[in-house]
Amino acid sequence: MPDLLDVSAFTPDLLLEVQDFDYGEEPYQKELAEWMRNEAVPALKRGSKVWLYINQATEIVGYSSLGVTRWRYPGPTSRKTELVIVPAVALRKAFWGKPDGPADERYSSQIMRHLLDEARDWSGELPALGLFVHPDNLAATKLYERFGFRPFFHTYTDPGTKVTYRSYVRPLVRG
Amino acid sequence: MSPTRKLPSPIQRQVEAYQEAWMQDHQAALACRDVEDTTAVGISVFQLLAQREDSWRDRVFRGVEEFFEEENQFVLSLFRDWLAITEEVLAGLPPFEGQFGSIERADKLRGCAAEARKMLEEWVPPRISGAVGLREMTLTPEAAAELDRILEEAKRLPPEPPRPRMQEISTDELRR
Repeated sequence: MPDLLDVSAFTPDLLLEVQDFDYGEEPYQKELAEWMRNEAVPALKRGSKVWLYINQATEIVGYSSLGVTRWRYPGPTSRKTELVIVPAVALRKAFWGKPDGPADERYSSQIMRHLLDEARDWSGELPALGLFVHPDNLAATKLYERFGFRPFFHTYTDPGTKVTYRSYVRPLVRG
Repeated sequence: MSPTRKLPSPIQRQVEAYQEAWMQDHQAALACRDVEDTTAVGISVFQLLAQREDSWRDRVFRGVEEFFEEENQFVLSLFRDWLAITEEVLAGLPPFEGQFGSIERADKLRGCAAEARKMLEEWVPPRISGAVGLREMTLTPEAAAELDRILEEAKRLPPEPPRPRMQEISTDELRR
């Protein structure tokens, strides 16, 4: 019997429950902990959705989020288009590679399937889902590719950290 | 007796008293209408300020506009000034409410004032989104063409087979 995750919508009053989670030691993993602590609530206020995932032992194993971004087309018209995007998704270090068994039943896979279901339901303008990944986060890159995300021409260099993030996009068929 | 009487007759005095009473009520009613106008303007101005603040926060969050402390102080001062004026307007309402029962939209203005007080107490300046994906960006011509290809492809894809959705649980179950 697979250890199926349940999902709960994150609300600001749950911040205390997720303050001390460990998502890993790498700088980009610490960014994910920081996002949950300090960025999730502002993101909710700007229209994003955030979820917490709970295993059968009622432990919170991680979180994910969806939001809408605006991409501007080049050229004189500078037409803007809205795209559903994954601002941040993370699995606590204690649950990496868990539960044992087929990759398709791991928590990370269950979270990705939930994100795709939610993205399909989202009333965004474009039938696609995008995300940005830190160049060092190879494990996440492999997971995204397994779920149909493809490297996209677009990159973004954070003017503050000078890190160049790679973008991935996946077509979505809305139900 | 002279036919032209200098003193008003009792009936004239009654008419004058009646007119005076009516005039007082009329003046009070006009003042009440002015107060209702002021209340409506107060609500509209608050909504305008809230929209302006939200739009500024969104631009900073999306990286479209840089955050400046001067702008932060300016937005704060707009709310503080609005609240100071509104507190005075609200303090003047009870006599009218006592006389006329209620002032149109007074409760709404009180709600706006409560919201402004809370907003000022809990004020957190906006900042750029830490998740770079939520920042507004301009595509290169190559990326724009690739995005168009992906969107065209999405139109031709078959619907994905339905699968059981993850079970949702209440947040109450997560609180310590």
